[in-house]
Amino acid sequence: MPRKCVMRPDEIIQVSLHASSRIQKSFRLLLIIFFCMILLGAAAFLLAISGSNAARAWQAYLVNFVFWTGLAFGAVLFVAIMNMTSAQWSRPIKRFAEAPGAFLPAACVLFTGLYFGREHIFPWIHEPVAGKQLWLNVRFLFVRDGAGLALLTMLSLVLLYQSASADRKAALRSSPGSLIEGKRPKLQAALSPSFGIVYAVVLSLIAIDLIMSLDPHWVSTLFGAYYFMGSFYTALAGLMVLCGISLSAYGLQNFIMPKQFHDLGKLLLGFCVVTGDFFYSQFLVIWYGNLPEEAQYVVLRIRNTPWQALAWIVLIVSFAFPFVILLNRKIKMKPRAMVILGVIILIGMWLERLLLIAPSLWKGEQLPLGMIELLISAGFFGAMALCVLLFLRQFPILPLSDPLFLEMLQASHEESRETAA
Amino acid sequence: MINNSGLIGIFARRNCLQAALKALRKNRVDIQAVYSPVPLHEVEEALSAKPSSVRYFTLTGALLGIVSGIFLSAYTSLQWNFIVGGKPVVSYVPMVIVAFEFCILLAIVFNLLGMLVNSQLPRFSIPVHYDTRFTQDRFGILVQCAESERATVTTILKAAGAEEVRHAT
Repeated sequence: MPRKCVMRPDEIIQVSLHASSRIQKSFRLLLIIFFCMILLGAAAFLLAISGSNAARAWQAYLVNFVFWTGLAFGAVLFVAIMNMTSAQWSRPIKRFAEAPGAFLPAACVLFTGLYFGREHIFPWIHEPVAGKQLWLNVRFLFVRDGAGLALLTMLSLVLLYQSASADRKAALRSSPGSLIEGKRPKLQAALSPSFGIVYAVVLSLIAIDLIMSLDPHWVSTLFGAYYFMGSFYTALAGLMVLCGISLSAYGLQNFIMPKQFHDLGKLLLGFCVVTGDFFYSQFLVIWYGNLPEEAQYVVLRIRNTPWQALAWIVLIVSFAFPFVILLNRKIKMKPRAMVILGVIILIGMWLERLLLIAPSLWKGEQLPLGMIELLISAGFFGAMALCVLLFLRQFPILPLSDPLFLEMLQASHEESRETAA
Repeated sequence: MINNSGLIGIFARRNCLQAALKALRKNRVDIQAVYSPVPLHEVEEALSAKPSSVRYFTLTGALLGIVSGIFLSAYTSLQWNFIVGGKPVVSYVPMVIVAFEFCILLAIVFNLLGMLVNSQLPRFSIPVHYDTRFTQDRFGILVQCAESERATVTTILKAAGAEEVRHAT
């Protein structure tokens, strides 16, 4: 029997206001840990680019940039989809879906960092491709991608700020025993569909410019969609991990229930299949056509060492394994199992980004997977985790002023009363 | 088969139905069937019936579909024996699509068959105890009990708020 949600309004406010005090003790420790990770990553990166490993460091930087930025935008897309569909089930996890969006300003700064590594990243700077210079030139690339990122970040931040600040105001204004009357946020409803469209365009642009152009002779028309769907899949896995960890850390067992994990698990399964399908749709067409300039991209990754083994690992870890596990109904309701699966998917998708980028740049015998990659990834992870932690501290943990959240509580309250009667 | 030598209780309200189910289970009365015009998830949970065997039909269909998809594409390719673009005649890349489609097709067909077998459909005669109001605005519980227990069970059903309790035969 799933636990029913029977919370009085003042309890909801209490939980929201005191959620951060529950982790008060570990907050400072976490802050220091994440900050140290950032410093460590930055130090490793700076050391590497000043030494002989510059190309490898920039490559790791790029892999992490596309991975974490995609995750952050994907999470905001989840919020936008919630707004568009007026979904009730996901309201308790709304703040956790918003949290990775706090990383976006940092992502914009990190993007400008790529400018200094352009010589190492873009092969077409040294060997321009005839007929493609109009699109593949440094200035135009940074201007268009920078503008796209800035636009999408701005849209995300407006969406997040609208919802989070309304909740904070509601929490401050509320007195025990009174439920906050939330208005349906019009601006959020209007912005969400446009966010969805701009998301698809900007993430396609990033995929084409920062990943596809590394092999400037290769083209795949589906690549942009493949990247932004994969990013959404990554974001869902990240959200699963965040929810699972926060559940006990913030004491939200009365709000985030097995039902929420079940639904999130179903979505994860769906987008696991979509990502796999987009991969296969590209792969099949390239396989059939067998054009040298298209096929070489795939052949390099699935037939040549050292990438061959990595390609199989990616297929299993980010697609086959989660697919089989998520078919099971009961496991989707177990937070701990879902956190583990989420972490596995995140690792799989990170390796997948590496597999998309590194073979175009790395010419060594061994896989470029060692201390440099680990430390730089730790730095990016630290930055993301720090942003999430600070965001969750700044705003109430539950969407207090969201009318759909209150409706959801009301509905489950009535349901439990009827069952009890 | 539903044994229709029992009692049927008819209810107008959902909470009465639930109370009756609770009381019946407490007294270990054998509940044969619950009729409802609308899906009731909490009743499904309360009855804690074991998962239906339809899923094994579906799984069988899915696996059979994969095998037959692979077989069909390999067999037809071998019939023509064309080498296209230097690729092997029987290659697994395009096979995946056919196997996938067959997997879904046969899984659905088997699922439907499993559902029919499990619900003993099609049924050409309506059981005697069945009340047509069960598809309109009434809930019903069919219980199986010995001659001697009839009075007790009737009291339980009535106490829970049954509008009507009658013999199922």
